Amino acid sequence: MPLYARLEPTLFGIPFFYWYQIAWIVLGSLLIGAVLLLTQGRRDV
Amino acid sequence: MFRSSSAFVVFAVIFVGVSVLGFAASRWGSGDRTSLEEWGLAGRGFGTIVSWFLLGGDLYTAYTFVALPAFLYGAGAIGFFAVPYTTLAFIFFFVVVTRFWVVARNRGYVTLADFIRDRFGDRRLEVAVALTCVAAAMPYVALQLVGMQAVLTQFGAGSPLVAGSALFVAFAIVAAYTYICGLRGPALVAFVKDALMYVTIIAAMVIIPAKLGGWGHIFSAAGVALKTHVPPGGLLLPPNMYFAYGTLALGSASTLFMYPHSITSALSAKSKRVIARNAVFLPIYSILLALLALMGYCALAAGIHLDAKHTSLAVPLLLDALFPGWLAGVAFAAIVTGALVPAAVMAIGSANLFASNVLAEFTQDRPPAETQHAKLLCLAVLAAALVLVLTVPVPFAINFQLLGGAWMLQIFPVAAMGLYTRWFYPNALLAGWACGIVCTTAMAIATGFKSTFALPANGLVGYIGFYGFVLNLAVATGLTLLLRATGSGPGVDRTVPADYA
Repeated sequence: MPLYARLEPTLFGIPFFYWYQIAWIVLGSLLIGAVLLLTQGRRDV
Repeated sequence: MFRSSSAFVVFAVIFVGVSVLGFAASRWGSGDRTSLEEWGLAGRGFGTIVSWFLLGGDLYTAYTFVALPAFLYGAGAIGFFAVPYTTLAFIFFFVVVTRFWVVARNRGYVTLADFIRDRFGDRRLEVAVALTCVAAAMPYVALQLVGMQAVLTQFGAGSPLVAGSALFVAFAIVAAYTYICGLRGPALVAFVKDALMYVTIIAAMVIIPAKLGGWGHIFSAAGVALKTHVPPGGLLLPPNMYFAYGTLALGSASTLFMYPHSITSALSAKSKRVIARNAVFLPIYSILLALLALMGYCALAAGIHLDAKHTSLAVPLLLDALFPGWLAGVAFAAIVTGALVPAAVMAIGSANLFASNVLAEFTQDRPPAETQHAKLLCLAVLAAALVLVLTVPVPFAINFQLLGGAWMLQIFPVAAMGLYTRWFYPNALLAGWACGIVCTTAMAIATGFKSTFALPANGLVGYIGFYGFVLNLAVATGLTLLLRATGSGPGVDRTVPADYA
């Protein structure tokens, strides 16, 4: 938590705390997508 | 009263259209409507796109869209926990719900508690899970109406009678098409709801920061305004709230998929792959959610003043002030249809649970009587929610909804861990569940229904559901070891490993 509970650097005026967690929505989705693609060939996902 | 009459016209036209669509769903799909699988799960036939709209439509509820910005408006950074919460929730969808979908299809389960009955061979555990889910969903259905009520009260020029009757009519329409069409009704309406939601939020993102002088200015103005609140809020969490923030996010993420509306929508998917794909694509809604949460700060920056009891009006008033009339109408229609979709799915999910896991356990009735029970119960759930909203003060319903979330976490060892292991003994799980429920309820009462609690020993502030869960798991583990040592058996498991593959 201390890692991202801060204001700087800002992105388009949005404090770090907020855009960092929004970025993780996208990253999380990409990671799940990657796992899905990688496991697709092996078994019926 | 909202500024513009064009807002009302646009709103009314969309609402009538949506109602017609709901009834049109009765022509969608074929199949025997007297079976619970057809009525309650749309015959398990939904593909990726329908599921995306349906899951998006009922997980991201109107209440969330009204309450979340209200939370940030009132309390600052802590409200943003919903963002890591929904990010984490999809990991559970990807891993746990796909597994549940497989066993549910193989063995014909309609609810989560159906699985508990087979897995643990214990009816008390089944009823405990079913009642927990229904108890958690009921105030949630009621809260969907709060957002609707906020909009309708404005249209009714502040007259509670007009707003009350409008609410009644809207709900009667939903109840009717849900009764007739089952899950297909809200699924079809979800398309419109989500489209309206996207239009509203994208428009808000274009119009509002520009009118308020950019994000930098919005945050600094909101930061100043938050400091004047009692208790003061801030753009960042104080260090003693870090643990609370983390446990709130993780705890809520681990319950989302067990709610009746999630299970109902997930089981209506036609394959495991549909759910897995949706775990990838549903987070698009989370981005909307995050942006919408920030609308709470926009309302602060726009100088909208509301006392602590009426923060749910923050977004409706903000949109009314800054949107052109017709667009405000679209936004209000989004809030109202956004309430109706999840309310209908939650009612279907709760009715399925109550009919198959509570009533059916005490009577000899089996389908199609079970389906008829579920349909009538669905009407009863909606009616009860309406009564709740019109009679009980809103903060009370919010308290119950928060407590319901903490309760849901107490079925995690049975429902989620039970999908992977049969190590725990049913009696131990039941005792753990009871301890968890009592513990979270006691903490909620002690703090005046806050979702966080400071441990007396070291003052660590955390989510009440999380503390209850730790106790729950400790009791379940301890008793299982004890029962094992005394040589009693683990009970019957009617599922076999092949059911999970």
